[in-house]
Amino acid sequence: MSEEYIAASTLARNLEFSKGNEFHTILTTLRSPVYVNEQLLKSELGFLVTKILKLLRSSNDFDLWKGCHTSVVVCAYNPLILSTHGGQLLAAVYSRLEQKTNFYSSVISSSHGKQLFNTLISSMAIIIDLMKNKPTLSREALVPKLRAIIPTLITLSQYEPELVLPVLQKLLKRNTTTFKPFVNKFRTVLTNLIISDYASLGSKTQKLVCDNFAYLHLLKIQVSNTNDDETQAHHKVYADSNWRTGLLSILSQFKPVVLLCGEILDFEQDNELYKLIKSLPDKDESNDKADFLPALKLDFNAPLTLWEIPQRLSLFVDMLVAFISLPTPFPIRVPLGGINSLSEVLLGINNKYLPLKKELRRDNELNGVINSILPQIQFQGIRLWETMVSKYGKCGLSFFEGILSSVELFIPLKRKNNKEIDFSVVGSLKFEFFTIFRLINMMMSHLGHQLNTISVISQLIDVALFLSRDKTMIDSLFKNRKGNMKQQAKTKQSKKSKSTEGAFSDIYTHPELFICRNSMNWLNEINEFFTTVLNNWILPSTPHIQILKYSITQSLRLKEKLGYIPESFVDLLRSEVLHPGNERVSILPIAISLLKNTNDDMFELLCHPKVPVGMMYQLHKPLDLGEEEKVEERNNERERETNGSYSHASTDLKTFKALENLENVAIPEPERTVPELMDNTAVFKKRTVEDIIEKETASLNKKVKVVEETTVENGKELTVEETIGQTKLDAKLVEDSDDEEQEFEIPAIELSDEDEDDEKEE
Amino acid sequence: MTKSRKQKQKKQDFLRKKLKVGKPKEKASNATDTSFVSKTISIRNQHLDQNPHDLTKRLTLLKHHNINVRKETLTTFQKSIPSIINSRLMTPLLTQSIPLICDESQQVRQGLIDLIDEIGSHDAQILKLHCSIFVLYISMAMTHIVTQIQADSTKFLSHLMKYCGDEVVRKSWIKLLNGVLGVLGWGQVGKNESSNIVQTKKRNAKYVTVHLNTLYTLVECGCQDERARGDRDTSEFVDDSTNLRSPYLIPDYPQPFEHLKLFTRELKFEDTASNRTNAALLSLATQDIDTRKVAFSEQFLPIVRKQTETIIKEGGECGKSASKLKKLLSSIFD
Repeated sequence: MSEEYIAASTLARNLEFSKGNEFHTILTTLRSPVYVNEQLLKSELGFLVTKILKLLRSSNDFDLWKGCHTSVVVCAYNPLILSTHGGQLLAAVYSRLEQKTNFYSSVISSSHGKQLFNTLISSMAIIIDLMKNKPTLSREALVPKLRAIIPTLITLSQYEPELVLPVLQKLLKRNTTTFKPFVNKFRTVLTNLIISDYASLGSKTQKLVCDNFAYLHLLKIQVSNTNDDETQAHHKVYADSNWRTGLLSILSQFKPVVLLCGEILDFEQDNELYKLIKSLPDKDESNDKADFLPALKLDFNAPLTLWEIPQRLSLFVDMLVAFISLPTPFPIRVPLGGINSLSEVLLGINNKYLPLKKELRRDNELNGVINSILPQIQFQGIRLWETMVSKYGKCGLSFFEGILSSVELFIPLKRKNNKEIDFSVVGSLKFEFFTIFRLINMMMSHLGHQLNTISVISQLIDVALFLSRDKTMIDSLFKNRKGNMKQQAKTKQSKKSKSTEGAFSDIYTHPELFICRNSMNWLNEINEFFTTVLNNWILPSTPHIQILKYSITQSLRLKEKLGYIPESFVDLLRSEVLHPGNERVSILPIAISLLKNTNDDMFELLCHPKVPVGMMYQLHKPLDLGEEEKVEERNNERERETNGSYSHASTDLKTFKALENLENVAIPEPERTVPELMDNTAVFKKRTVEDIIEKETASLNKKVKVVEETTVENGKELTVEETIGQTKLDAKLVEDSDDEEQEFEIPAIELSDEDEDDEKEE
Repeated sequence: MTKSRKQKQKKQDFLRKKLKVGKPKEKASNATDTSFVSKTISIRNQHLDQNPHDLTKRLTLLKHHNINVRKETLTTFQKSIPSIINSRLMTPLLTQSIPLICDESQQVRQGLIDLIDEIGSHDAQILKLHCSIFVLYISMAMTHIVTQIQADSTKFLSHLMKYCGDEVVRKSWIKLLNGVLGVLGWGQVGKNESSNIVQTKKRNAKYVTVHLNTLYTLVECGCQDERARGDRDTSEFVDDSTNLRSPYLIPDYPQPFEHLKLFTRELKFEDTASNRTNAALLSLATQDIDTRKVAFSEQFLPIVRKQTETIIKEGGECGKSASKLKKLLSSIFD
């Protein structure tokens, strides 16, 4: 075998001129473990590495690209090369990156410039990743080079934040000390990004910028820690002191912006809210560093400038989210209460209960802008809560009720009567509601039955049902159209209108094509919400029926479209079947016909209920426990009287004691059996339903278990097979009789038990 | 080309076919082929053996212009109900006879009531199945222009409630309440105050009693659960396990999933300012007691309370019914 491989030198030679498929093949061949061979190291692999280095140093961009990929493959699959030549390769890649960075504008102007940067950075990141945590390698090769690499990356991060920031983030987290000298430079780059281009970055990059900004606060603590440890050991120093100051400085930035909103809404009408706003953390005057953002320029005469308020708040929330959600090497202290009250304040900024300032009420345009920014401001609070709940889960349990009542403030109501939901506004806030449902779902998994305030939930159900209908874009058009037509008829300009309406023909003939459909993500989230709601509460019939209708029609539609019913819909159908609420009939038949060929365990069980076999024994035990001794004596007597065959047997008391459980079951007492009859069926039915919930099939395990129990209890060597036969027979009998009238059930059980006794007695 | 072919065909028609020896004579072009074999021949239009007792024939008589014929037909059907109760005839019978709720003759309407009673006493399921048509015509009668028909409408309702009260309140709670209040002249929707019914109210105390009694049964059925009612046949032992189990068993009433409206097209209610709340209520599903209670107490309770007070003051037969209703209301809502 060992002689049949292609020599690495051959591959290396071909590497230079290979293209396309050949290059792919060479890379796949190099992955082979054959090349991890110490004998090859000096001759063959050395040659390979020199070839790669040559490629990396070549002035041809394509060769450079090939070199990058080959070095990554070689380092990843060949530990020998990684440990001997890894540093060399990394240095080569880095030097090319630095070179290209210096001529950034000319490189990026070429057609493949961006791709080249991408390759260089990613291959460098991979090699760094491979080298990390390997003590000698990182000490000898990696760390010294990082001092050179980091400034280059920081320079590049101004131009290509999307590519560079993930690498820098990793470096910041892992090699915090090495990063230390460059922190200030990086901070200026990041603040520049935040101040000037933040809105133009993609949402992923925005998150990266914020994450990096937060990670800058990992740095100082090591220094301060050591200092403190030496000078004042008695002083308790938390590892996260710097992190916390960063967090608090962001948190304190909110208050001035919130106070700005006081220019729009009359906060003084609501004392509670006013107090809450007052209690928000103030900006620390001494700490100027956090205050790098320019002041907001708002002008009521130019209403669109007001949009800066939600934008600024959104930026703060982004940064705060980074601070509270990022993994850190040390435990951090998060002011959950402060964040909670901040969110509460943000959600309190609405014009539902607070009036606008008097002087603003006349300007229509201004009012329009205010109406549109208020939900956005509230939404920032919801985002904060969403992160808080997803990261800290049950730690915020005490806030949950408050969160729910605040969420109610977000649901837009009609002005005239404050009870009805304004669905036209709801329609425009779909994304925001998506976040709300995610938040609610996360909370409800913790709360469940505990929750008493159902009014929010029923409102949210209405919203969910409204938003999960397909939205037509042209409804309003038709409404307006009618008015137009009338006017046109009046003015007799029909000729003119005809010529313009030609373009509209599609709208009239195929209105179904102008529809916004819901994404699967949305439906999944909504379904989860409905499932928890149905599991926890009995709804009034209107929303219940609407949910039923929604689930049935949607799952049928999706079944036709996708060929299967998505998991979340199956879950919803399940809980609808298990919790029929006020319905007289569950939708079991409909659900089953929808899920016909899916072999769903639960529905299978509901259609063909199986009996857990061990039940009968467990059922009778409580009876025995109370009157054990009396019953025992009575049994003996009765057995003697009734059973002739028993009289000849030696009246062995021990045997009786051993058999007592079973015997108690067996004795056909007329007074007892009649009420038991009812009980049995009742419990039997109940149990099956419960079992279904747990998806617990009545399995063979149980049978075996029962057998074991009986043998132990009897204390005597009972023939195991016999018992198995008995239990099976019982099960069969019960199953058969289940479909028919219930009165047949118990006699069957009783009979079998009697038989069992007879056998034992014999 | 075409011309010549046509001409040829024409010519062929007039050619005389030559007879040849040893060959059979050609058949005429209009000869009928009688060579087929059939075991039976059914001739549709000529039922020779006409069943003198065929009731399907009589269905059309329900629309006869003569009052007596209609009435007689109803009585005939009523007599033959025991024999046809399980036949296919019931659906056409009901669909044909229900429109007689709006019949102009009092006798015919009475006949229909008797027929309904007869059917109900035999098999209430059939009435349950046709519940929605009943409600349709009853609410039509409730807004009928002829006073007598309007006045009789609640009679039909009360008889229907006897057999399928649960169905009726589940399906059309708001609609019927609106109707009954309208008949009583308390309506909020149509402002029925100037209509005949109110003008003749004092003269027709008897009708008002019927209306009030119907309202009583309606509220009782809709807002009180079976145990509280504790009435006749439903007082059987109902334990928790039955409640748990029954949704999964085969239902003992027709069309169990109708209220889901999976196959019906729902009307969109435009937000017209005037009776918007009522429109919203009409789209409400009133399958459970709580919803019905809430809807009643929000929409109807104040006016019913106010009006019963005045009627009680007037006293008489109406006063009795009104005070009964008042008691029921206070037992449910207080």
